[in-house]
Amino acid sequence: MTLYFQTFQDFIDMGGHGFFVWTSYAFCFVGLLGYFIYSNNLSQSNKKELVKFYRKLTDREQRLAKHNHTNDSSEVNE
Amino acid sequence: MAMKPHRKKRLTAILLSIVGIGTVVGLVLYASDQKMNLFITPSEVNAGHAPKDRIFRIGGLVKEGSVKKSSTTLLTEFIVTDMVADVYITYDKLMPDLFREGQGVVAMGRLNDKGVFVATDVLAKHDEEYRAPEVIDALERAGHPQEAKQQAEQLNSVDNQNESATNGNN
Amino acid sequence: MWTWFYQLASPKWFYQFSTRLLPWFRWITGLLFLLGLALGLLFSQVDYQQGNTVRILYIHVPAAFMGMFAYVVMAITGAIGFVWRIKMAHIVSVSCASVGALFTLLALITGAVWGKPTWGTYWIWDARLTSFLILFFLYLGFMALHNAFDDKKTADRAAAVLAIVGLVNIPIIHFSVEWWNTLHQGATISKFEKPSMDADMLAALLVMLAAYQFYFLTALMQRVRAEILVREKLSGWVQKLVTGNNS
Repeated sequence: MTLYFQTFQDFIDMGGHGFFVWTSYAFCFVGLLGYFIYSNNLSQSNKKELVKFYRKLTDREQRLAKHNHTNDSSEVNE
Repeated sequence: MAMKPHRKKRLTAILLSIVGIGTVVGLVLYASDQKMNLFITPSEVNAGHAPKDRIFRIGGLVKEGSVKKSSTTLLTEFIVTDMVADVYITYDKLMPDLFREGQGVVAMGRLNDKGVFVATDVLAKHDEEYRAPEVIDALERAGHPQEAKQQAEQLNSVDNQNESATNGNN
Repeated sequence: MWTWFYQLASPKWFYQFSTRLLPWFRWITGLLFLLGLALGLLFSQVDYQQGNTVRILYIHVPAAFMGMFAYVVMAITGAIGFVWRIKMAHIVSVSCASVGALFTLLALITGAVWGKPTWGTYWIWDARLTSFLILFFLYLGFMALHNAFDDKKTADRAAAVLAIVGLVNIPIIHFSVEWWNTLHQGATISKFEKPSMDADMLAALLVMLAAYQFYFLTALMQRVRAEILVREKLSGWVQKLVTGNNS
């Protein structure tokens, strides 16, 4: 197992084809890393959405319960 | 595993539709076989299958020792071959990096009155072999000329393509 | 075996199982990519014809393979969901689409950038390139169709049908270089023959293939988990997980 390139300049140059090699690697790197971060954040953003959803759900339940409760108590008072 | 009837029905429907669509697509592709080909071979050109007065693509190997480059202009003359037939090609632009004798090439252009193919565009085709330069050197030193082996392989594949092409015509 | 299958088909079980699995998959993916890049960019030989542009192969070929692999997974899980009405199968199928589209797009882009210095053109309408572009449009069509329905169940089934129909494109892509004259060369690695490639290049390619495979599994898992949360929002365990209490 030996390093193919002698100098760092050779590595960047890629035998005159540096532009093509590095362009394709850059596209791949940005694409794969970007999608990885995006798909990882998806769970977090969905969780935040769900927190709002559940808050609305519990608010409505509480309002309903309160409503029922006032009705109940008025009945008792009578 | 016992399957409920309605599931069996759905599965059969899926399998049947795959077979059906596959058949239709297969037939369409078979019928348009010639159109799906990117290029035609020198044998087909010599057999008169080349379109007249229309631009088309021709593909094959650059014949060993056939490349003549002009010293003053970019003009290059070479022979493209499928080991059965040869076609002369002229091209007056810069050749791609991988253009070399014994390697694959696809040229676009038309035939002139003398039967010479005047190319407006030349693309290099490369094969599926990936080898280090040292390995090729070693092979050649050991008396296994890589070129000969490759040409034999290419010859086989070109033969197969010719067979399928003629089958398609029938 | 069947209990395992039923467990896997349970969104709750899958979510909890994947929570433990995910960190491992991320590490393996990262390490395989580092090893693959080192082999491909630093330690492998150049090609005797192409020189250093051959290094694009190590990111192009795995991307193309995974683009097709993800499609097959998408179609098969879609079909399983369609026939047996399994929720998890549809979730996996739908989650495959965007990862697969990404792989396909990367294969098209890296292929174009590779084509210019080797063939002399970025693009040509030969059978291989055209059928592969169709694969990309099939992914886009799948996602568009799934988004077009408000009802998830209808969307799942409609998209599954499209995925199954589009499956015929996969063998066409694979055999296009054998059936027709193309600019694209034939397959380098096939099951029945010795690969026409030197060992150090082959090693780099295989490690990169493994890296892409683990990337696919990791990204797919992340998407599936996000999808499970949304679809199972009314079940108690999701609510407990998100809000941290039972209310």
